[in-house]
Amino acid sequence: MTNIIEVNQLTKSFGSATTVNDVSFTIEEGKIYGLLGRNGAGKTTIMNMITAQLFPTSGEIKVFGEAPYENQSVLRQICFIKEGQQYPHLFRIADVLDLCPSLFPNWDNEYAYSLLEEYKLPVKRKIKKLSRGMLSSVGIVIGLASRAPLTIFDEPYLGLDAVARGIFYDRLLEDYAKHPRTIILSTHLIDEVSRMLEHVLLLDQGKLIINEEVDAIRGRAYTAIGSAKIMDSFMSGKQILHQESMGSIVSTTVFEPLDKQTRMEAEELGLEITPVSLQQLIIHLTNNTPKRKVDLNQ
Amino acid sequence: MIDDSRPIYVQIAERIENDIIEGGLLEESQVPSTNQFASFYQINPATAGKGVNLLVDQGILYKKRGVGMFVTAGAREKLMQKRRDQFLEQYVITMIQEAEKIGITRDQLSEMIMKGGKLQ
Amino acid sequence: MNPISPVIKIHLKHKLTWIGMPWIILLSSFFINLIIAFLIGDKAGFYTGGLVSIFIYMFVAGMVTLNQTFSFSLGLSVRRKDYFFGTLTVIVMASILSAIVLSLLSYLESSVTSGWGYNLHFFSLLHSFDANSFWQFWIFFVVLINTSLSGFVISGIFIRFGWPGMYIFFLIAAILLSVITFACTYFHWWSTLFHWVADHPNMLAFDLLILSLIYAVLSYLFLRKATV
Repeated sequence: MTNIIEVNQLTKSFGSATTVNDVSFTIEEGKIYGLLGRNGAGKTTIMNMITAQLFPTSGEIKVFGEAPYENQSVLRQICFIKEGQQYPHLFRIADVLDLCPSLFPNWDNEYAYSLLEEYKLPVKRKIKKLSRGMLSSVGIVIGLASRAPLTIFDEPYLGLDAVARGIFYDRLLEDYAKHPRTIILSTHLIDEVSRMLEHVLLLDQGKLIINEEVDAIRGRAYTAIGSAKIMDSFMSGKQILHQESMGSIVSTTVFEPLDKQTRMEAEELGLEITPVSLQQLIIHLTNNTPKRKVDLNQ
Repeated sequence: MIDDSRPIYVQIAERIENDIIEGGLLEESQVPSTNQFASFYQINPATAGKGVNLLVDQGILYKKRGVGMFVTAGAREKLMQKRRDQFLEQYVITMIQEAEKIGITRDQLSEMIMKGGKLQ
Repeated sequence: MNPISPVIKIHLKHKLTWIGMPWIILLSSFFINLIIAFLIGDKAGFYTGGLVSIFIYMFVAGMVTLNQTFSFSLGLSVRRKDYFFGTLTVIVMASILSAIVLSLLSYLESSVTSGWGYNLHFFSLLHSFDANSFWQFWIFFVVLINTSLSGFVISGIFIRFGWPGMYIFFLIAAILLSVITFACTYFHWWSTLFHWVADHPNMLAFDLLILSLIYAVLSYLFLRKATV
């Protein structure tokens, strides 16, 4: 496998705040990656550095084997759909699309216009006058039709309704199957997107805490629910991720795969075992507030 | 449809297995392509491919070069045997445990099973 | 594909900015002055500074364009270097175009219509130029390029150094200007200065050109290190 991106001990500080803290990872060719984490975890900062729009404080980035800064052969292979992309204030949708063929070597104009139609975008309208959802759709159209070898979507579906998001997933998978390329989806909305991903990079407060195939993460945790007395003995020696109590009932999320023996042990004790979705797991891993307690006895 | 708490490739393999057992996919017939699975379930094609390969490894599916994936002859019987082996552990033991917990005797339980069978 | 051509396309997408607006503003100013000249009807001639409006506009356009298009271009995988040279090309082209039209109008005003029939001196202010149409064009061009690039470089300071950079720049600019103004007044340099400018317009043009080059080099250095 060829590495499209190599990031080595990357750190970015703004004054005294460190937004990206000693992060290292590689992105392999032809896969769909998820760059996940809460708002402010450092996702956008990392993407801005990969595309040389921000400079690292320390560390090294190689994209297509080279430093991306002012590197035409690297940059022309990247399409970065930024959540906060600025547009000149007179620009209409059509104006931006007119520029794309000269910016992206693989641009498919026909495909772009078919997507515009599907999203019912008013091409003559000024970008400044678009709703948040329409703005996201414009980004999706450009990102897909650019067919760039490295396509990066930063929060691609802010403001999109379920139907529009569905169109995005369908078209992305369809076009990715026809024209395989490396795609990074950065989002804090993990729920829907997780099954489209092959690999997950999870950031928390500037640090990379998970770098794994997404299916390897699924099933890595489970939740046991039962009375507090029984729970204590069951939980001893286990890695507890999260605990909530409601009266005498305790719900504990354990960060370990559930093996057959543990399952039988729990069943004998009368504990209820439920699976933990990827979304829930990531919420637990990145929730830095003190443990939540629900007390109904008050 | 797809459950987010278990590896998706395992779930894809299970769905194909179910289709073979229920007769939706006949032996020696072609299985949908990885990309068809991917777009149908809105999942990553590599994940779908992993599910399919799991069944190839088990001899349930086989690959015809340049054509696609097909169901092996005898796959249905093989899968049914596997499910029978799992049946005791997956359903019977759980059922008996639950019955004991709520005070259903073995006799009552077997009577229920007989009745339940009739209802079908 | 030439890497600066997308940048030129970005700027020329809306030609109003560099080609339409300067003339809308200048011509409105011209017609107002023409009406005033008609109402006054002074035989001695009506001198007006309305021409300055196009230079002020170019200054503002130079400033605004960076703010409007730099981050947008970078977001579309454009190199800083290509952005700079593409933008510079547009500024130079727009300045040439405007300078040609200004020279023509100046010629019409002084030599053909004798002040548009009402003795209005709007386009040709310095008589020493009237003789040579190339110098006429050249001084217009240099002043246009100088005003747009000075706007551009100030915006460049902002993009590179943010608000702190702006504060420091304006502080230094204010101090320098006060000192120079004070010195000119105190030592009675003003009239010497004006006479020198009037007598040596080609030297003035040369100095402004050097200044423009300095602005261009500075903006290039700022943009190379600018982030979004």
